[in-house]
Amino acid sequence: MSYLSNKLQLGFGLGLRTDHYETILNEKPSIDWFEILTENYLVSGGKPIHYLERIRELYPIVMHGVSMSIGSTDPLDWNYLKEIKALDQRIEPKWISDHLCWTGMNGKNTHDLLPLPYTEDVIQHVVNRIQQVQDFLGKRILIENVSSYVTYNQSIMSEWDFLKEISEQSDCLILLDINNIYVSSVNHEFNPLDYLDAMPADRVQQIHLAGHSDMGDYIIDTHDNKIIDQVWKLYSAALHRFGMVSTMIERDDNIPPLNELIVELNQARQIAKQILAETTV
Amino acid sequence: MNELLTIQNSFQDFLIQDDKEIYQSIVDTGKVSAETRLEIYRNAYRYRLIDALAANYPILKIYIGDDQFEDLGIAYLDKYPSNFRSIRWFGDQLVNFLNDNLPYKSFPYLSELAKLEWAMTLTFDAADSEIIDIETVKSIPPEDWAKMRLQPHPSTYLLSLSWNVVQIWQELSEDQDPHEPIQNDHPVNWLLWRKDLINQFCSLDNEEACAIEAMLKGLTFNEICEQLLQWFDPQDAAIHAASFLKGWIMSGLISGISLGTGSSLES
Ligand SMILES: [Fe+2]
Repeated sequence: MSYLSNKLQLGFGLGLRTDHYETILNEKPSIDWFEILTENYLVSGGKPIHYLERIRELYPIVMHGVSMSIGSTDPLDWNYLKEIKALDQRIEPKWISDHLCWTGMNGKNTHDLLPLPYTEDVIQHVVNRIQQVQDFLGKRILIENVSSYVTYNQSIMSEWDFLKEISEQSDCLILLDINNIYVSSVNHEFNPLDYLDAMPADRVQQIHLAGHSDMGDYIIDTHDNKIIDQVWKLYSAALHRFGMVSTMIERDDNIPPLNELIVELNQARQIAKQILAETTV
Repeated sequence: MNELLTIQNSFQDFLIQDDKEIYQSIVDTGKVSAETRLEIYRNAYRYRLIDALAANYPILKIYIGDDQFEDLGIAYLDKYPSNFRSIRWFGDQLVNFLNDNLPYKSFPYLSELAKLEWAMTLTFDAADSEIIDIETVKSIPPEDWAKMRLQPHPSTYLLSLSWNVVQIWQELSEDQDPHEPIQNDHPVNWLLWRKDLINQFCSLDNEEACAIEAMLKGLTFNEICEQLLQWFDPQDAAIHAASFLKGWIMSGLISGISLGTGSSLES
Protein backbone atom coordinates (compact mmCIF):
# COMPACT_ATOMS: atom_id res chain seq x y z
CA MET A 1 0.00 0.00 0.00
CA SER A 2 1.24 3.45 -0.75
CA TYR A 3 -0.93 5.80 1.24
CA LEU A 4 2.17 7.73 2.15
CA SER A 5 3.52 7.91 -1.36
CA ASN A 6 4.19 11.43 -2.53
CA LYS A 7 2.68 11.10 -5.96
CA LEU A 8 1.23 14.31 -7.34
CA GLN A 9 -2.45 14.58 -6.41
CA LEU A 10 -4.62 16.67 -8.70
CA GLY A 11 -7.97 15.60 -7.28
CA PHE A 12 -10.98 15.12 -9.55
CA GLY A 13 -10.91 16.23 -13.17
CA LEU A 14 -12.76 16.10 -16.46
CA GLY A 15 -11.80 15.94 -20.10
CA LEU A 16 -11.69 19.39 -21.65
CA ARG A 17 -14.31 19.46 -24.42
CA THR A 18 -15.10 22.21 -26.93
CA ASP A 19 -18.75 22.35 -25.85
CA HIS A 20 -17.72 23.40 -22.36
CA TYR A 21 -15.08 26.08 -23.07
CA GLU A 22 -17.37 29.05 -22.45
CA THR A 23 -19.06 27.57 -19.38
CA ILE A 24 -15.70 26.85 -17.81
CA LEU A 25 -14.45 30.38 -18.31
CA ASN A 26 -17.70 32.02 -17.26
CA GLU A 27 -18.62 29.85 -14.30
CA LYS A 28 -15.23 28.56 -13.16
CA PRO A 29 -16.85 25.32 -11.95
CA SER A 30 -15.38 23.34 -9.09
CA ILE A 31 -13.47 20.84 -11.15
CA ASP A 32 -9.92 20.30 -9.93
CA TRP A 33 -8.19 19.86 -13.28
CA PHE A 34 -8.67 19.12 -16.96
CA GLU A 35 -7.26 16.52 -19.31
CA ILE A 36 -6.84 17.60 -22.93
CA LEU A 37 -6.75 15.34 -25.95
CA THR A 38 -3.25 16.24 -27.12
CA GLU A 39 -3.87 15.88 -30.85
CA ASN A 40 -6.69 18.45 -30.77
CA TYR A 41 -4.16 21.09 -29.83
CA LEU A 42 -1.43 20.22 -32.32
CA VAL A 43 -2.78 22.97 -34.57
CA SER A 44 -1.29 26.34 -35.39
CA GLY A 45 -3.87 28.59 -33.75
CA GLY A 46 -7.49 29.60 -33.55
CA LYS A 47 -10.15 28.65 -31.02
CA PRO A 48 -8.69 25.48 -29.44
CA ILE A 49 -5.37 27.09 -28.55
CA HIS A 50 -7.04 30.34 -27.50
CA TYR A 51 -9.31 28.61 -24.99
CA LEU A 52 -6.63 26.27 -23.74
CA GLU A 53 -4.35 29.22 -22.99
CA ARG A 54 -7.07 30.83 -20.90
CA ILE A 55 -8.27 27.69 -19.14
CA ARG A 56 -4.75 26.65 -18.18
CA GLU A 57 -4.46 29.89 -16.21
CA LEU A 58 -7.33 28.68 -14.04
CA TYR A 59 -6.86 24.92 -13.84
CA PRO A 60 -4.02 22.37 -13.91
CA ILE A 61 -3.89 20.56 -17.25
CA VAL A 62 -2.64 17.11 -18.26
CA MET A 63 -1.97 16.00 -21.84
CA HIS A 64 -3.50 12.74 -23.07
CA GLY A 65 -2.48 11.51 -26.51
CA VAL A 66 -3.81 8.81 -28.84
CA SER A 67 -1.16 8.68 -31.57
CA MET A 68 2.18 7.81 -30.00
CA SER A 69 1.67 4.23 -31.19
CA ILE A 70 4.21 3.07 -28.63
CA GLY A 71 3.78 -0.59 -29.58
CA SER A 72 4.06 -0.18 -33.35
CA THR A 73 6.81 -1.82 -35.39
CA ASP A 74 7.20 1.46 -37.29
CA PRO A 75 10.00 3.72 -36.05
CA LEU A 76 8.96 6.31 -33.46
CA ASP A 77 7.55 9.40 -35.15
CA TRP A 78 10.00 12.09 -34.08
CA ASN A 79 8.07 14.86 -35.78
CA TYR A 80 5.07 13.98 -33.69
CA LEU A 81 7.19 13.76 -30.55
CA LYS A 82 8.68 17.19 -31.30
CA GLU A 83 5.17 18.61 -31.54
CA ILE A 84 4.32 16.98 -28.20
CA LYS A 85 7.40 18.48 -26.65
CA ALA A 86 6.58 21.93 -28.02
CA LEU A 87 3.04 21.73 -26.63
CA ASP A 88 4.46 20.45 -23.34
CA GLN A 89 6.68 23.52 -23.10
CA ARG A 90 3.89 25.86 -24.13
CA ILE A 91 1.16 24.71 -21.75
CA GLU A 92 3.22 23.05 -19.00
CA PRO A 93 0.92 20.11 -18.24
CA LYS A 94 1.29 18.22 -14.99
CA TRP A 95 2.01 15.12 -17.02
CA ILE A 96 1.73 13.46 -20.44
CA SER A 97 0.02 10.15 -21.14
CA ASP A 98 -0.70 7.83 -24.05
CA HIS A 99 -1.84 4.23 -24.46
CA LEU A 100 -0.28 0.78 -24.25
CA CYS A 101 -1.20 -0.15 -27.80
CA TRP A 102 -0.32 0.41 -31.44
CA THR A 103 -2.38 2.52 -33.84
CA GLY A 104 -0.89 1.75 -37.24
CA MET A 105 2.14 0.68 -39.25
CA ASN A 106 3.75 1.27 -42.66
CA GLY A 107 3.11 4.98 -42.19
CA LYS A 108 -0.64 4.54 -41.86
CA ASN A 109 -2.76 5.42 -38.86
CA THR A 110 -5.97 3.52 -38.11
CA HIS A 111 -6.73 5.97 -35.26
CA ASP A 112 -7.75 2.99 -33.15
CA LEU A 113 -6.07 1.78 -29.95
CA LEU A 114 -5.12 -1.72 -31.06
CA PRO A 115 -4.00 -4.39 -28.61
CA LEU A 116 -0.55 -5.95 -28.52
CA PRO A 117 0.34 -9.63 -28.08
CA TYR A 118 1.60 -10.17 -24.54
CA THR A 119 5.06 -11.67 -25.04
CA GLU A 120 8.58 -11.10 -23.70
CA ASP A 121 9.74 -9.76 -27.05
CA VAL A 122 6.97 -7.20 -27.17
CA ILE A 123 7.75 -6.13 -23.60
CA GLN A 124 11.35 -5.43 -24.62
CA HIS A 125 10.21 -3.59 -27.74
CA VAL A 126 7.79 -1.34 -25.84
CA VAL A 127 10.15 -0.75 -22.90
CA ASN A 128 12.85 0.39 -25.27
CA ARG A 129 10.50 2.81 -27.01
CA ILE A 130 9.05 4.24 -23.79
CA GLN A 131 12.60 4.88 -22.61
CA GLN A 132 13.42 6.73 -25.82
CA VAL A 133 10.29 8.86 -25.47
CA GLN A 134 11.00 9.62 -21.81
CA ASP A 135 14.59 10.55 -22.59
CA PHE A 136 13.44 12.84 -25.36
CA LEU A 137 10.71 14.53 -23.32
CA GLY A 138 12.89 14.67 -20.24
CA LYS A 139 10.18 13.23 -18.02
CA ARG A 140 8.33 10.04 -17.19
CA ILE A 141 5.15 9.43 -19.13
CA LEU A 142 1.96 7.63 -18.11
CA ILE A 143 0.85 4.60 -20.09
CA GLU A 144 -2.82 3.64 -20.11
CA ASN A 145 -4.37 0.19 -20.38
CA VAL A 146 -6.78 0.01 -23.34
CA SER A 147 -9.98 -1.95 -23.62
CA SER A 148 -9.69 -4.89 -25.99
CA TYR A 149 -11.91 -7.31 -27.82
CA VAL A 150 -9.43 -9.90 -29.05
CA THR A 151 -6.78 -12.15 -27.52
CA TYR A 152 -3.87 -13.19 -29.70
CA ASN A 153 -2.87 -16.85 -29.86
CA GLN A 154 0.72 -15.66 -29.46
CA SER A 155 0.13 -14.12 -25.99
CA ILE A 156 1.81 -16.00 -23.17
CA MET A 157 0.86 -13.87 -20.16
CA SER A 158 -1.98 -11.79 -18.74
CA GLU A 159 -2.49 -8.17 -19.67
CA TRP A 160 -1.79 -7.09 -16.10
CA ASP A 161 1.57 -8.86 -16.00
CA PHE A 162 2.41 -7.31 -19.33
CA LEU A 163 1.56 -3.78 -18.14
CA LYS A 164 3.32 -4.28 -14.80
CA GLU A 165 6.51 -5.54 -16.44
CA ILE A 166 6.58 -2.71 -18.95
CA SER A 167 5.99 0.00 -16.36
CA GLU A 168 8.69 -1.37 -14.06
CA GLN A 169 11.28 -2.02 -16.71
CA SER A 170 10.81 1.32 -18.46
CA ASP A 171 10.22 3.19 -15.20
CA CYS A 172 7.07 4.81 -16.55
CA LEU A 173 3.90 5.64 -14.65
CA ILE A 174 0.46 4.13 -15.14
CA LEU A 175 -2.83 5.69 -16.12
CA LEU A 176 -5.24 3.02 -14.98
CA ASP A 177 -8.52 3.05 -16.85
CA ILE A 178 -10.99 1.32 -14.54
CA ASN A 179 -13.68 1.12 -17.20
CA ASN A 180 -11.22 -0.47 -19.64
CA ILE A 181 -10.32 -3.10 -17.04
CA TYR A 182 -14.01 -3.80 -16.55
CA VAL A 183 -14.73 -3.93 -20.30
CA SER A 184 -11.81 -6.27 -20.92
CA SER A 185 -12.69 -8.44 -17.93
CA VAL A 186 -16.11 -9.10 -19.46
CA ASN A 187 -14.77 -9.54 -22.99
CA HIS A 188 -11.98 -11.88 -21.89
CA GLU A 189 -13.66 -13.39 -18.85
CA PHE A 190 -11.12 -12.59 -16.15
CA ASN A 191 -11.50 -11.28 -12.61
CA PRO A 192 -10.88 -7.53 -12.64
CA LEU A 193 -9.62 -7.66 -9.05
CA ASP A 194 -6.70 -9.80 -10.23
CA TYR A 195 -5.78 -6.92 -12.50
CA LEU A 196 -5.88 -4.39 -9.65
CA ASP A 197 -3.91 -6.69 -7.34
CA ALA A 198 -1.08 -6.97 -9.85
CA MET A 199 -0.61 -3.23 -10.33
CA PRO A 200 2.49 -1.61 -8.83
CA ALA A 201 0.61 0.85 -6.60
CA ASP A 202 3.30 3.52 -6.55
CA ARG A 203 3.18 3.87 -10.30
CA VAL A 204 -0.57 4.42 -10.59
CA GLN A 205 -0.61 8.18 -11.09
CA GLN A 206 -4.03 8.69 -12.67
CA ILE A 207 -7.35 6.91 -13.01
CA HIS A 208 -9.84 7.10 -15.88
CA LEU A 209 -13.53 6.41 -15.38
CA ALA A 210 -16.03 6.20 -18.24
CA GLY A 211 -19.25 4.71 -19.48
CA HIS A 212 -19.61 2.10 -22.21
CA SER A 213 -22.11 0.19 -24.35
CA ASP A 214 -23.26 -3.25 -23.21
CA MET A 215 -23.91 -5.49 -26.22
CA GLY A 216 -24.96 -8.55 -24.21
CA ASP A 217 -22.15 -11.04 -24.84
CA TYR A 218 -19.54 -8.32 -24.96
CA ILE A 219 -19.01 -4.65 -24.08
CA ILE A 220 -17.77 -1.81 -26.26
CA ASP A 221 -15.84 1.06 -24.77
CA THR A 222 -17.75 4.02 -26.20
CA HIS A 223 -17.34 6.81 -23.60
CA ASP A 224 -20.84 7.98 -24.42
CA ASN A 225 -22.70 7.03 -21.29
CA LYS A 226 -22.91 7.21 -17.52
CA ILE A 227 -20.53 5.14 -15.42
CA ILE A 228 -22.20 1.89 -14.34
CA ASP A 229 -22.31 0.49 -10.79
CA GLN A 230 -19.81 -2.29 -11.41
CA VAL A 231 -17.24 0.27 -12.56
CA TRP A 232 -17.89 2.39 -9.46
CA LYS A 233 -17.34 -0.73 -7.35
CA LEU A 234 -14.11 -1.45 -9.14
CA TYR A 235 -13.06 2.16 -8.57
CA SER A 236 -13.63 1.69 -4.83
CA ALA A 237 -11.56 -1.47 -4.92
CA ALA A 238 -8.80 0.41 -6.73
CA LEU A 239 -8.71 3.20 -4.13
CA HIS A 240 -8.60 0.59 -1.35
CA ARG A 241 -5.43 -0.74 -2.94
CA PHE A 242 -3.75 2.43 -4.18
CA GLY A 243 -4.98 5.15 -1.82
CA MET A 244 -6.00 8.44 -3.41
CA VAL A 245 -5.20 8.73 -7.11
CA SER A 246 -5.96 11.71 -9.39
CA THR A 247 -9.21 10.71 -11.08
CA MET A 248 -10.99 11.93 -14.18
CA ILE A 249 -14.11 11.06 -16.13
CA GLU A 250 -13.86 10.61 -19.88
CA ARG A 251 -16.86 11.55 -21.97
CA ASP A 252 -16.18 11.76 -25.69
CA ASP A 253 -19.58 11.31 -27.22
CA ASN A 254 -23.15 12.21 -26.36
CA ILE A 255 -21.59 14.98 -24.25
CA PRO A 256 -24.04 16.38 -21.65
CA PRO A 257 -23.96 19.84 -20.03
CA LEU A 258 -21.01 20.29 -17.70
CA ASN A 259 -23.25 20.17 -14.62
CA GLU A 260 -24.23 16.58 -15.32
CA LEU A 261 -20.60 15.55 -15.48
CA ILE A 262 -19.88 17.43 -12.27
CA VAL A 263 -22.61 15.41 -10.53
CA GLU A 264 -20.89 12.24 -11.73
CA LEU A 265 -17.53 13.59 -10.64
CA ASN A 266 -18.94 14.31 -7.19
CA GLN A 267 -19.91 10.67 -6.97
CA ALA A 268 -16.22 9.82 -7.41
CA ARG A 269 -15.34 12.37 -4.74
CA GLN A 270 -17.83 10.77 -2.35
CA ILE A 271 -16.44 7.30 -2.89
CA ALA A 272 -12.88 8.49 -2.39
CA LYS A 273 -13.77 10.43 0.74
CA GLN A 274 -15.46 7.42 2.26
CA ILE A 275 -12.65 5.02 1.46
CA LEU A 276 -9.90 7.33 2.65
CA ALA A 277 -11.83 7.89 5.89
CA GLU A 278 -12.13 4.12 6.39
CA THR A 279 -8.49 3.43 5.68
CA THR A 280 -7.11 6.16 7.93
CA VAL A 281 -9.15 5.06 10.99
CA MET B 1 10.02 -8.47 -33.74
CA ASN B 2 9.08 -10.54 -36.77
CA GLU B 3 6.08 -11.99 -35.00
CA LEU B 4 4.79 -8.57 -33.97
CA LEU B 5 5.39 -7.22 -37.45
CA THR B 6 3.40 -10.06 -38.99
CA ILE B 7 0.52 -9.59 -36.57
CA GLN B 8 0.37 -5.84 -37.07
CA ASN B 9 0.61 -6.16 -40.81
CA SER B 10 -2.24 -8.61 -41.06
CA PHE B 11 -4.36 -6.75 -38.47
CA GLN B 12 -3.99 -3.51 -40.39
CA ASP B 13 -4.70 -5.23 -43.71
CA PHE B 14 -7.84 -6.60 -42.12
CA LEU B 15 -8.97 -3.14 -40.99
CA ILE B 16 -8.14 -1.41 -44.23
CA GLN B 17 -8.95 -4.04 -46.84
CA ASP B 18 -10.78 -6.83 -45.02
CA ASP B 19 -7.89 -9.27 -45.45
CA LYS B 20 -8.67 -12.41 -43.40
CA GLU B 21 -5.18 -13.58 -42.50
CA ILE B 22 -5.37 -12.11 -38.98
CA TYR B 23 -8.10 -14.62 -38.05
CA GLN B 24 -5.52 -17.33 -37.37
CA SER B 25 -3.93 -15.16 -34.66
CA ILE B 26 -7.15 -14.52 -32.74
CA VAL B 27 -8.48 -16.75 -29.98
CA ASP B 28 -12.00 -17.95 -30.72
CA THR B 29 -13.86 -18.25 -27.41
CA GLY B 30 -17.09 -20.14 -26.97
CA LYS B 31 -18.94 -16.97 -26.03
CA VAL B 32 -17.83 -14.64 -28.82
CA SER B 33 -16.31 -15.76 -32.12
CA ALA B 34 -13.07 -14.35 -33.52
CA GLU B 35 -15.09 -12.96 -36.39
CA THR B 36 -17.42 -10.98 -34.11
CA ARG B 37 -14.45 -9.75 -32.10
CA LEU B 38 -12.58 -8.56 -35.17
CA GLU B 39 -15.67 -6.93 -36.64
CA ILE B 40 -15.83 -4.67 -33.56
CA TYR B 41 -12.47 -3.26 -34.63
CA ARG B 42 -13.37 -2.96 -38.27
CA ASN B 43 -16.60 -1.10 -37.46
CA ALA B 44 -14.87 1.16 -34.96
CA TYR B 45 -12.17 1.96 -37.51
CA ARG B 46 -14.65 2.86 -40.23
CA TYR B 47 -17.03 4.85 -38.10
CA ARG B 48 -14.33 6.78 -36.31
CA LEU B 49 -12.93 7.93 -39.64
CA ILE B 50 -16.32 8.61 -41.19
CA ASP B 51 -17.12 10.73 -38.11
CA ALA B 52 -13.85 12.57 -38.58
CA LEU B 53 -14.76 13.20 -42.21
CA ALA B 54 -18.16 14.49 -41.12
CA ALA B 55 -16.49 16.85 -38.65
CA ASN B 56 -14.57 18.43 -41.54
CA TYR B 57 -17.50 18.37 -44.00
CA PRO B 58 -20.63 18.82 -41.86
CA ILE B 59 -22.68 20.63 -44.50
CA LEU B 60 -21.77 18.21 -47.29
CA LYS B 61 -23.07 15.48 -45.00
CA ILE B 62 -26.37 17.27 -44.50
CA TYR B 63 -26.58 18.00 -48.22
CA ILE B 64 -26.16 14.43 -49.46
CA GLY B 65 -27.72 12.78 -46.39
CA ASP B 66 -26.37 10.33 -43.81
CA ASP B 67 -26.53 7.19 -45.96
CA GLN B 68 -24.86 8.74 -48.99
CA PHE B 69 -22.24 10.29 -46.75
CA GLU B 70 -21.49 6.94 -45.18
CA ASP B 71 -21.02 5.38 -48.63
CA LEU B 72 -18.79 8.29 -49.58
CA GLY B 73 -16.78 7.91 -46.37
CA ILE B 74 -16.23 4.18 -46.91
CA ALA B 75 -15.19 4.70 -50.54
CA TYR B 76 -12.87 7.56 -49.61
CA LEU B 77 -11.32 5.60 -46.74
CA ASP B 78 -10.62 2.67 -49.08
CA LYS B 79 -8.72 4.96 -51.39
CA TYR B 80 -7.07 7.31 -48.89
CA PRO B 81 -6.47 5.59 -45.54
CA SER B 82 -5.14 8.04 -42.96
CA ASN B 83 -1.43 8.61 -42.61
CA PHE B 84 -1.90 11.48 -40.19
CA ARG B 85 -1.04 11.54 -36.51
CA SER B 86 -3.97 13.83 -35.88
CA ILE B 87 -7.34 12.71 -37.21
CA ARG B 88 -8.17 16.38 -37.82
CA TRP B 89 -6.41 16.17 -41.21
CA PHE B 90 -8.37 13.17 -42.46
CA GLY B 91 -10.24 14.20 -45.59
CA ASP B 92 -7.57 16.40 -47.13
CA GLN B 93 -8.03 14.62 -50.50
CA LEU B 94 -11.82 14.63 -50.54
CA VAL B 95 -12.09 17.40 -53.15
CA ASN B 96 -9.89 15.39 -55.53
CA PHE B 97 -11.76 12.22 -54.72
CA LEU B 98 -15.11 13.84 -55.56
CA ASN B 99 -13.67 15.25 -58.79
CA ASP B 100 -12.19 11.96 -59.93
CA ASN B 101 -14.74 9.31 -59.02
CA LEU B 102 -18.22 8.30 -60.06
CA PRO B 103 -20.91 8.96 -59.15
CA TYR B 104 -19.62 12.11 -57.47
CA LYS B 105 -17.89 13.64 -60.45
CA SER B 106 -21.23 13.83 -62.26
CA PHE B 107 -22.26 16.41 -59.64
CA PRO B 108 -19.38 18.91 -59.75
CA TYR B 109 -20.96 21.18 -57.11
CA LEU B 110 -20.22 18.47 -54.50
CA SER B 111 -16.48 18.91 -54.86
CA GLU B 112 -16.92 22.68 -54.75
CA LEU B 113 -18.92 22.44 -51.53
CA ALA B 114 -16.16 20.22 -50.15
CA LYS B 115 -13.54 22.73 -51.29
CA LEU B 116 -15.37 25.47 -49.39
CA GLU B 117 -15.66 23.41 -46.22
CA TRP B 118 -12.04 22.27 -46.28
CA ALA B 119 -10.88 25.88 -46.66
CA MET B 120 -13.08 26.75 -43.68
CA THR B 121 -11.29 24.16 -41.53
CA LEU B 122 -7.93 25.61 -42.60
CA THR B 123 -9.11 29.10 -41.72
CA PHE B 124 -10.45 27.88 -38.38
CA ASP B 125 -7.15 26.60 -36.96
CA ALA B 126 -4.57 28.55 -38.96
CA ALA B 127 -1.81 30.22 -36.96
CA ASP B 128 -2.67 33.22 -34.81
CA SER B 129 -1.22 36.59 -35.65
CA GLU B 130 -1.52 40.22 -34.67
CA ILE B 131 -3.43 42.49 -36.99
CA ILE B 132 -2.40 46.06 -37.78
CA ASP B 133 -4.61 49.12 -37.61
CA ILE B 134 -4.88 52.02 -40.01
CA GLU B 135 -2.38 54.11 -37.99
CA THR B 136 0.39 51.67 -38.87
CA VAL B 137 -0.01 52.28 -42.56
CA LYS B 138 -0.39 56.05 -42.05
CA SER B 139 3.02 56.08 -40.42
CA ILE B 140 4.69 54.87 -43.61
CA PRO B 141 6.14 57.76 -45.66
CA PRO B 142 4.52 58.05 -49.14
CA GLU B 143 7.86 57.40 -50.88
CA ASP B 144 8.03 53.97 -49.22
CA TRP B 145 4.59 52.81 -50.29
CA ALA B 146 5.76 51.29 -53.55
CA LYS B 147 8.02 48.79 -51.79
CA MET B 148 5.58 47.77 -49.02
CA ARG B 149 4.95 44.05 -48.72
CA LEU B 150 1.70 43.21 -46.95
CA GLN B 151 1.60 40.19 -44.67
CA PRO B 152 -1.85 38.63 -44.85
CA HIS B 153 -3.28 37.04 -41.71
CA PRO B 154 -2.33 33.30 -41.85
CA SER B 155 -6.01 32.35 -41.98
CA THR B 156 -6.56 34.05 -45.37
CA TYR B 157 -7.71 31.85 -48.26
CA LEU B 158 -8.96 32.82 -51.70
CA LEU B 159 -11.32 30.47 -53.53
CA SER B 160 -12.82 30.58 -56.98
CA LEU B 161 -16.20 28.83 -57.10
CA SER B 162 -18.29 28.15 -60.19
CA TRP B 163 -21.43 26.99 -58.39
CA ASN B 164 -23.67 28.66 -55.83
CA VAL B 165 -22.25 26.47 -53.07
CA VAL B 166 -21.78 29.33 -50.62
CA GLN B 167 -25.51 30.02 -50.82
CA ILE B 168 -26.25 26.30 -50.34
CA TRP B 169 -23.81 26.21 -47.43
CA GLN B 170 -25.47 29.19 -45.76
CA GLU B 171 -28.98 27.84 -46.21
CA LEU B 172 -28.11 24.43 -44.83
CA SER B 173 -26.21 25.84 -41.88
CA GLU B 174 -29.36 27.81 -41.01
CA ASP B 175 -31.56 24.71 -41.33
CA GLN B 176 -33.25 26.03 -44.46
CA ASP B 177 -34.03 24.18 -47.68
CA PRO B 178 -31.14 24.71 -50.06
CA HIS B 179 -31.51 26.28 -53.51
CA GLU B 180 -31.00 24.10 -56.56
CA PRO B 181 -27.34 24.01 -57.58
CA ILE B 182 -26.70 26.65 -60.25
CA GLN B 183 -23.54 27.14 -62.23
CA ASN B 184 -22.59 30.81 -62.55
CA ASP B 185 -21.68 32.31 -65.93
CA HIS B 186 -18.27 33.17 -64.48
CA PRO B 187 -16.54 31.78 -61.41
CA VAL B 188 -16.99 33.90 -58.27
CA ASN B 189 -14.08 34.80 -55.98
CA TRP B 190 -14.54 34.15 -52.29
CA LEU B 191 -12.29 35.32 -49.53
CA LEU B 192 -12.08 33.42 -46.23
CA TRP B 193 -10.33 34.62 -43.10
CA ARG B 194 -10.66 34.53 -39.34
CA LYS B 195 -11.33 37.54 -37.15
CA ASP B 196 -11.71 37.36 -33.36
CA LEU B 197 -11.70 33.53 -33.62
CA ILE B 198 -14.71 33.56 -35.97
CA ASN B 199 -14.51 32.51 -39.62
CA GLN B 200 -15.49 35.26 -42.05
CA PHE B 201 -16.15 35.15 -45.78
CA CYS B 202 -17.16 37.52 -48.54
CA SER B 203 -17.27 37.60 -52.32
CA LEU B 204 -14.83 39.80 -54.23
CA ASP B 205 -14.86 41.41 -57.66
CA ASN B 206 -12.09 40.31 -60.01
CA GLU B 207 -10.01 43.44 -59.40
CA GLU B 208 -9.85 42.99 -55.65
CA ALA B 209 -9.35 39.22 -55.93
CA CYS B 210 -6.42 39.85 -58.25
CA ALA B 211 -4.92 42.29 -55.73
CA ILE B 212 -5.37 39.79 -52.87
CA GLU B 213 -3.81 37.04 -54.92
CA ALA B 214 -0.82 39.33 -55.58
CA MET B 215 -0.55 40.05 -51.84
CA LEU B 216 -0.73 36.34 -51.00
CA LYS B 217 2.14 35.75 -53.44
CA GLY B 218 4.21 38.28 -51.50
CA LEU B 219 4.36 40.96 -54.20
CA THR B 220 5.07 44.60 -53.31
CA PHE B 221 2.41 47.29 -53.28
CA ASN B 222 3.83 48.61 -56.53
CA GLU B 223 3.54 45.17 -58.12
CA ILE B 224 -0.04 44.90 -56.86
CA CYS B 225 -0.78 48.21 -58.61
CA GLU B 226 0.79 46.84 -61.79
CA GLN B 227 -1.54 43.85 -61.68
CA LEU B 228 -4.47 46.26 -61.62
CA LEU B 229 -3.37 47.98 -64.84
CA GLN B 230 -5.43 45.45 -66.77
CA TRP B 231 -8.50 47.35 -65.54
CA PHE B 232 -7.29 50.87 -64.63
CA ASP B 233 -4.90 53.59 -65.73
CA PRO B 234 -1.84 53.94 -63.46
CA GLN B 235 -3.23 56.66 -61.22
CA ASP B 236 -6.57 54.91 -60.70
CA ALA B 237 -4.77 51.60 -60.09
CA ALA B 238 -2.89 53.16 -57.17
CA ILE B 239 -6.06 54.73 -55.78
CA HIS B 240 -7.89 51.40 -55.99
CA ALA B 241 -5.01 49.49 -54.43
CA ALA B 242 -4.89 51.99 -51.55
CA SER B 243 -8.61 51.69 -51.00
CA PHE B 244 -8.41 47.88 -51.07
CA LEU B 245 -5.63 48.06 -48.50
CA LYS B 246 -7.71 50.25 -46.23
CA GLY B 247 -10.61 47.79 -46.46
CA TRP B 248 -8.34 44.82 -45.74
CA ILE B 249 -6.93 46.50 -42.66
CA MET B 250 -10.42 47.33 -41.40
CA SER B 251 -11.44 43.69 -41.93
CA GLY B 252 -8.51 42.39 -39.91
CA LEU B 253 -6.78 40.78 -42.87
CA ILE B 254 -3.34 42.37 -42.55
CA SER B 255 -0.85 41.12 -39.96
CA GLY B 256 2.06 43.35 -40.85
CA ILE B 257 3.84 45.42 -43.45
CA SER B 258 7.50 45.06 -44.33
CA LEU B 259 9.57 47.52 -46.30
CA GLY B 260 12.07 45.73 -48.49
CA THR B 261 14.41 43.50 -46.54
CA GLY B 262 14.75 43.74 -42.82
CA SER B 263 12.45 46.46 -41.58
CA SER B 264 8.98 45.38 -40.68
CA LEU B 265 6.07 47.13 -39.07
CA GLU B 266 3.65 45.24 -36.94
CA SER B 267 1.11 46.57 -34.53
FE1 LIG C 1 -9.13 5.96 -20.86
